[in-house]
Amino acid sequence: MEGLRSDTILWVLALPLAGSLFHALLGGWLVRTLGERTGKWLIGAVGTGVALGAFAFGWQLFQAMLALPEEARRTTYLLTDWIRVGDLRVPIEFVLDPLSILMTLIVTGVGGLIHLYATGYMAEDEDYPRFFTYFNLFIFFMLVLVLAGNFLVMFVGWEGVGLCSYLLIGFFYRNAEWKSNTDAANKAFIVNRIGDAGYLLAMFLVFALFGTLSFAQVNAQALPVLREASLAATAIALLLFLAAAGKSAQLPLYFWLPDAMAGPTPVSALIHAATMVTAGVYLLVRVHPLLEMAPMAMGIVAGVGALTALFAATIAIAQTDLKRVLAYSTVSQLGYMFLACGVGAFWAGMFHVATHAFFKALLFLGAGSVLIALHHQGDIRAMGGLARALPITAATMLVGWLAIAGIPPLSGFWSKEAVLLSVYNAKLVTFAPVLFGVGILTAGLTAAYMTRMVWLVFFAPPAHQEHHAPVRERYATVLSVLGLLALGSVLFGWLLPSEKAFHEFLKPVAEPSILTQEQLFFSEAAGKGLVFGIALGAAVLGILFGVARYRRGVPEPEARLAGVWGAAHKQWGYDGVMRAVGVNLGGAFALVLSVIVESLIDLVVNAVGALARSVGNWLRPLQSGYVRSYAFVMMLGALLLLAAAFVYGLR
Amino acid sequence: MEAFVKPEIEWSALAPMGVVVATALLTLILELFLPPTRRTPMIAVGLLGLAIAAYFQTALWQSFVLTFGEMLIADSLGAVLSLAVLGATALTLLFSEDYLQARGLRYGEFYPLVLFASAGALAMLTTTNLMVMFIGLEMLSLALYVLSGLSRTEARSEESALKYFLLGAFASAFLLYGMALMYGALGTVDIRDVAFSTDEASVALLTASAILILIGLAFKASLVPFHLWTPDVYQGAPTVATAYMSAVAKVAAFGVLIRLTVSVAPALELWGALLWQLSILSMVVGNAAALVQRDAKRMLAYSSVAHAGYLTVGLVSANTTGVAGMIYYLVAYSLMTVGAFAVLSLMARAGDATTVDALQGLYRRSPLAAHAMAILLLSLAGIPPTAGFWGKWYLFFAAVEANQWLLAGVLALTSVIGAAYYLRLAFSLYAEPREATPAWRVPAPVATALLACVLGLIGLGVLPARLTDAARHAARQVIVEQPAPTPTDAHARK
Repeated sequence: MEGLRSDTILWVLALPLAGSLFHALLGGWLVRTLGERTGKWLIGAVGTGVALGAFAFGWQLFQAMLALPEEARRTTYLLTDWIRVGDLRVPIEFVLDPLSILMTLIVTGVGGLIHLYATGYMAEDEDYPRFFTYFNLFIFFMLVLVLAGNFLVMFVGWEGVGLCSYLLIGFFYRNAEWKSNTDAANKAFIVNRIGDAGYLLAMFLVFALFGTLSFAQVNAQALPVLREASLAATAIALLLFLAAAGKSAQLPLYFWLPDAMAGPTPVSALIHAATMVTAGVYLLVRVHPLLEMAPMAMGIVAGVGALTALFAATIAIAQTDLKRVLAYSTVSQLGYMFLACGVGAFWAGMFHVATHAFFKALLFLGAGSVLIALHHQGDIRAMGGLARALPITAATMLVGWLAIAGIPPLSGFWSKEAVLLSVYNAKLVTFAPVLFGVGILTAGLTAAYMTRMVWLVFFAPPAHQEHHAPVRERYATVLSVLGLLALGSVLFGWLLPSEKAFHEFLKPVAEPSILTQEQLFFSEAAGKGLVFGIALGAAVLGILFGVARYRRGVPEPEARLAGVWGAAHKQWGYDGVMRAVGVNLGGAFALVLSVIVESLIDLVVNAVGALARSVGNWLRPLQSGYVRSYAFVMMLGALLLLAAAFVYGLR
Repeated sequence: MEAFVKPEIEWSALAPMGVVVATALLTLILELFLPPTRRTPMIAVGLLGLAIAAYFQTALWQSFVLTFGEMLIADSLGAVLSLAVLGATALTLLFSEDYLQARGLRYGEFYPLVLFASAGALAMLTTTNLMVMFIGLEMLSLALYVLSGLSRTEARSEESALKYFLLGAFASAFLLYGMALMYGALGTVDIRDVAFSTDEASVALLTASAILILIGLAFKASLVPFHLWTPDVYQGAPTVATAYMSAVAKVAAFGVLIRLTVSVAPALELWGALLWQLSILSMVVGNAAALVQRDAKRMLAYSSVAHAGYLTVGLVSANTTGVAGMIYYLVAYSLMTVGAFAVLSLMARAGDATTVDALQGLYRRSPLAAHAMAILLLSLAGIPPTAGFWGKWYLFFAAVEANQWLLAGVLALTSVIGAAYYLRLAFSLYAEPREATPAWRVPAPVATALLACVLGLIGLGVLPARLTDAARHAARQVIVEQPAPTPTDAHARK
C-alpha cells in the first residue's frame, strides 16, 4: 500500500524481542564484567531504548496512516504461512489499522515510559536483567496480540502476555516469606486459564463455522454465516466475553487482579493497569461484528461490565493497601469499557482504554514513588501528610486523581462521559437506564475512593511519625516519568474535546457494522449537557464526601475494618467463596475423579500395555539371531504376500 | 539400422551426485597423507563437498529434468529427499570422529565409505529406472555392510555385518528377480511404464514382479516381516554407522517406494493392499517389541521399524497429503534418528553400555546431551512443538482423507504405545543415576550436530509451513505432473 510500509511492523515487533533476548543472554554477563553500575545502566538503556524505538516506528506508521484516506487505512502483512494442513491454513499475519496502531502506540509509548521508570525503581534489585528480559518480552507479546491478523496469532500473544504476567507477578520469589507472591502468580495464571478455555472454544467454533480464522474474513462474513445460527452466534460471543473477562478481570473472574499487585509496581502499572488487562476490551472491539450478531450477549456484556464497575468500586473504598485501591479501581474502570462495548459504543470503550492507560499508569507509578520513599510499606492508614516530603509525586498524582475522578478538562472526564452518554442513549439494551444509574453511582464512588486515597496519603495528618529513614523522593528517572505522564494526561485532556477526531479516526474499525445506529441508539448524542452535568455532579459530590470524611485520617469504625467496611474489604466474601468452591470443593471433586477415573483409565492403559508387552515377548523367539531363521521368516513373508495376491485377485 | 542418436545430457542434474563421488575420491586420496589420529582435513573436505552438492541440489529445486536417456530424473521429490540425505551425511561426518577415535576405530575409509553410500542413495532418489535404482541400492548397501563391520575386533560388529550382508543379498535377489519379471511383462525397467500397461496378458507377471520388488525394498525400509536384521545390525554396528544408516537407508528406500507407488498403485489394486498389511504389521510389531527392549539401540531399531510402518500409511493413502506427509516425515525422522544415535554414540564413547538403564540420570553427566535427547524423544513420540508431531498429524490426516480409518486408528493407537517407551526413557534421563558416573565433556562438533538436530526439529515444529509447502509441491509434481515415458523401441517392438 502506498505510504503505509507494512514491513515497519516487523521492526516494531523485532525490537522488543531482540531486547528481551539481549537481556536474557548477555544481561548477567554484562553486570558481572562491566560492574553493577555500568551493566545495569546498559541493560536499562537497551530495555527502554527498544520500547521507545518501537514507539518511534509505530509513530511513523501512525503519521503515514493519517495521511491516507479513511478507506485505505488498513493493510495486512503476511509474514509466512504458519500452518497448512488440509483445510486449515493459518498464516502469520499482522494487521495494521487505526485500532491496532492505537494500541501499538499505547503499548510502546506508555510502555516505554514505564521502562524508563523501572530503570530507577528496580535499580537496586539483584535480578535486574531478568526483570528487563520479562518486561521487553511482555512488550513483544502484547504487540503480537494487538497486531495479530487472526485468532491464532492473537492467541500466541494472548498466552505470551499471560506468561509474562505470571513471571512478573511472581518476580520476587526468592525469599521463603514471599510464598504469597508465587501463590498470587499461580492464582493469576490459573484463573486466566478459564478465560483462555473460552477463547479456544470460541476459536474452534469460529473455524468450524467460517472455515477461517482471519479477523478480516470473519468480520466480513459474520452476517451471512451467523444469520441463521443465532445460538452459535450467542455462544461465540459469550465465549469471547469469557475470555475477555479472564484477561480483563471482570466478574466472575476478576479476583486474580488484586493479588497480582504482588509484582513490582512498574509491572502493575504496565501490565495490570495500562495494557494487558485491556486486551479483553480490545478483543471484543476487534471482532465486534460477532458480538453484534448476538444482541443478548451484548446485553450480558453491558450488564456484567456495569456490575463489575460498581462492585469493584465498593470494594476499593475499603481497601487499606495503596496498590490494592488502584487494582480495584482498575477492575472498576475496565467495567466501564465493557459497558460501552455492550451497548454498541465500541469506540467509547477504546477511548476509555486510551485515557485510562495514561492516568492509571500515572497513579500506579506515583504510588510506586510513595512506596520507594516509605520502604514499601503500603498501608495507607499509616501514611499521611506526605505532600511536603514528596512534592513532585503529590503534584503528579493529583493530576491522575482529577483525571480518574472525571473532572474536566482532564482526559478521564471526556472518555467517561463518552461512555455514559452512549449508555444514556442506548436502545438495544433495554435495561440501559439501570446501567446508566449504576454508571453514575460508580462515578461518584470512584471520585470518593480516589479522594480517600489521595487525602490519606498526602494531606491527612500523619499517623506515625517515626520512619526508619528520611522520607524523600528518589531517582530522577522515576520523577521525570511522573512529570511526563502528568503532562500527557493534561495535554491529552486539552486535546480531547476533539473527541470527535478520535471517534472519526476509529470509525472504520470500531463502528458497528451489522446493527445500525438506529437499532443501537435512540439518538446520536442527545442529552449531552444533562449527562455531563449529572456525571460532573456525582464526581464533585464524591470528592466532597471524600475530603469531608478523610480530612483527619481514617475515622472509626473504618480504621478497624469493622462491620460493613470489613465485608467490603474482604470483597464481600467473593474471594472466600471462590476459594471454597474453586480450591476446596474443586480439590475434593478432583480427588473423587482421580479415584474413579484413574483406576478406570489405569485398567485400560495397563491392559493395552500388557497386551503390547505380551506381543513383544511373544515375538522374541522370532529374533533368534540365526541368519537361517531370519531368511526363513523373510521367505514366509514373501509367501504371505504372494498368497495375498490370490486372495485379493491379481489387480 | 538407425544412426545412433546421442541423447541430450543435462549435466546439472548429475551435479550433486557427481560432487559427492568426487568428494569421496578426494577424501580417499587425502587419507593416504594423514596420520590416523588427524582426520580433520578429511572431514572438512567432506563437509565442503556436501555443501557444494547441496548447493547444486538446491539449484535443481523446482526443475523437472529427465536426462541420460530418461535414466535420471531431477524433480522436487528427489531434491528434497536428496537434501535430507546430504544433511544426514553432514551430521554423521560432524559427530563421528570423536567416537571413532575413542573406540580405536582409526580406519580412514569410514569417510569415503559414508560418502559413497550417500552417492548411492542420491542415485536411488533421482531415477525411475529400476536398473539405475538397483546400482544405487547396491552402492549404498555394500558401503553399509562394511560400515557395520568396521569394528573388526568386536565379534558383535562382525556378526552384524555378515548378517546384514547375507540377508541383504537375499533381498537383492528378490528385487532383481522382480525386475527381470517386469522386463518380461513390459519390456522395460522404467517404473513409469507400469501405470500405462494395459496388456491383460501380462498382469500375472506384473503382479509377481511388483511383489518381489516390494520385498526387496521392504527389507531396506525394515518393514515387518522383512525387518529381522534391523535390531541385530543396529545394535552390533558402530553407533555412528547405525546413526547414518538409520536415516539414509530409510530415506532412500522410501523415496523409491514413493515413485513406485505413484506408478504401480493405479495399475494394481493389490499394491495398496500389500502395503496396508506391511504397514499395520510394522506399526504393531515395531512398537510392541520396542516396549520390551532393554538396550537403547535395539529399542531405537524397533522404533525405526514402527516409523517405517507410519511412513507406509502415507504410501497406502497414495494421495498428495500422504506423499507430502512422508516427505516431511522423512526429513524430520532423519534429524531425530541421527540425533538420538549421536547421543548414544556419546554414551558408547564414554565406555558405558547403551542400555536403557544406563541412560537414567543422563542429566547428571551432561545436561546438554540430556536436553537434546529429551527433545529428540519427544519428537519421536510425536509431541508438539516438535516436527514429529506434524509428521504424524500429516500421515494421520492422509489416511483419513483416503478413508483408511482402520489404518488411521492403528497409527494413533500404536503411537500411544510408542509414547510409553519414549517418554519413559525421557523421564528417566532426569532421574537420579543408578550409579555415580563422571560428567562428560561433549566435544564441540558433537554438540553442534546435536544442536542442529534439536533446533531443526523445533524449527520445523513451530514453523512447519516452509517444508510442508515444499513437500506438497513435490508430491503434486510426482503424482500429477509426472510426464509419460517416451515410447522406447521396446514398446515399438510390441
